Amino acid sequence: MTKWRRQHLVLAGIGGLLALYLFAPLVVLVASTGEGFFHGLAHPLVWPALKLSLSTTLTSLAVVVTLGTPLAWVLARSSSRGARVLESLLQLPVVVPPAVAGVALLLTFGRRSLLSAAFSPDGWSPSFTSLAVVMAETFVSAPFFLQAAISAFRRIDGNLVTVARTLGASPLRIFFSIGLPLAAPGLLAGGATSWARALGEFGATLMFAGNLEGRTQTLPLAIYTALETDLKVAQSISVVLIVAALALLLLVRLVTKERSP
Amino acid sequence: MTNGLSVQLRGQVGSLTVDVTLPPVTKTLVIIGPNGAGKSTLLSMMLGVKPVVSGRLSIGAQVLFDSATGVSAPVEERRLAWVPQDSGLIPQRTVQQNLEFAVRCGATEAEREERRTRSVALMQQLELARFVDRDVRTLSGGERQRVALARALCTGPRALLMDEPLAALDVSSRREVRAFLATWLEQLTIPTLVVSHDADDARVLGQHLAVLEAGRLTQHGTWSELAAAPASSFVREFTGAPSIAAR
Repeated sequence: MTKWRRQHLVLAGIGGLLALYLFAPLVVLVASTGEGFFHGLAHPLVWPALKLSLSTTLTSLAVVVTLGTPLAWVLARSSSRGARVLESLLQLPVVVPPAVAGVALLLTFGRRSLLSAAFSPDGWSPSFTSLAVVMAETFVSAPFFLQAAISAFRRIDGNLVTVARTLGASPLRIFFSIGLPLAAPGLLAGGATSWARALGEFGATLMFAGNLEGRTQTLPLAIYTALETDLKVAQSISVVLIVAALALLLLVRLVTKERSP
Repeated sequence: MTNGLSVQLRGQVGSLTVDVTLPPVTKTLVIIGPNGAGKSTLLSMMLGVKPVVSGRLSIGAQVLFDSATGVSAPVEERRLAWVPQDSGLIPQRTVQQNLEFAVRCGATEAEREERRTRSVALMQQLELARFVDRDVRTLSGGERQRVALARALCTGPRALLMDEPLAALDVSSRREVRAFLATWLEQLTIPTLVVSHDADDARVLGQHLAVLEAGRLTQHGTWSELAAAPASSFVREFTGAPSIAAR
């Protein structure tokens, strides 16, 4: 073995330790669940949580994509300083701890918030309802979509837009005929990443929506509850979430790979 | 000179001040100059996508910009056809779809119909009929330029602005495309500006040349006028030593 090869192996070995650490727990989790998987899934906690997770994350994904796509387009096309500042600030939910996001949502939309006092004298607020789950998921997952969408829109050649304008194209036509189709792979990847984040959302949901079975108890919260009584159930739900995450990761890989010529 | 293009514009883009009054353009004027002289910037200012501080831009009686009277037509209404260096075609779309895009950008149904008729004629004239269903990414540089021309001209523009139409082509096809383009521009009845940094292209594409250096017009005239009395070392080198015989 040459000196070069030996040194190369040392570097790979040190780096490999981290990779091992990242993979091992997931492998152990899946392997140790084994046959107990279906048994765990049969637990009454699982089905309502799965349904709720699907419906709330799909709703939040729809909200994020519907409102986030125009926002990303405007920010990507703008050259103003304000747009740059806003773009950075929109990444805040990524770095702010989810628990903090939950407290912030509670203070803004909770029962004792100013909004609630102004619009709902009888004291109704979205907190501790399924709507609160959607709001928490939207809050934490939107930045992931925005970031991907903005960079996808930015990769579109600016000349295309200018040419379209000289041909007389309206802003909406440019958005729908040039922006959306050319950025589609990036938008899809952003949607998948954002969906994955929403599926895993825990902290903000617990704070703002609580952990009410059938109403606000999503899969991650069900894991938390199951952990106290039946580890196998927690494991089974975890495996479901790992598979979902893996599928979304593959989707992202697939569409981003297709995009590069 | 009823339909002549008159350009007198001053603007600041980055550290470059562009302050140019072009000779009146009725046929084709080729704008030459070193890199960073402001040639493309001038086109952008004319289109209305780069800020203009003062000046006037008109075609015939139609004023597109006039700082004195506060007139500034929006980009979408200037009806200036622009063909950028890389053609500016929508990728992953066919030739037909690219032309259809321009057709649908027409403001009224009547205008869309006019555009459709013109695009059919242009496809014939520019020998594009056999490419209609090809993805534009599979076309050669010269073919893409022709599609871009057809798409731009089907809108019935007041003037045509081309930015380095031959720069993206490889040497083998360049000569042929250059000759085709020169003949084509010769027949065109609207004022045309062609930006070029290449002596061979500039000499062939138009009778008149304007020299831009550091954002200013330093000289204009025919090729032989420029060659006979170059106003700057750039013009002397540009006209004196073309890399190969142009034709």
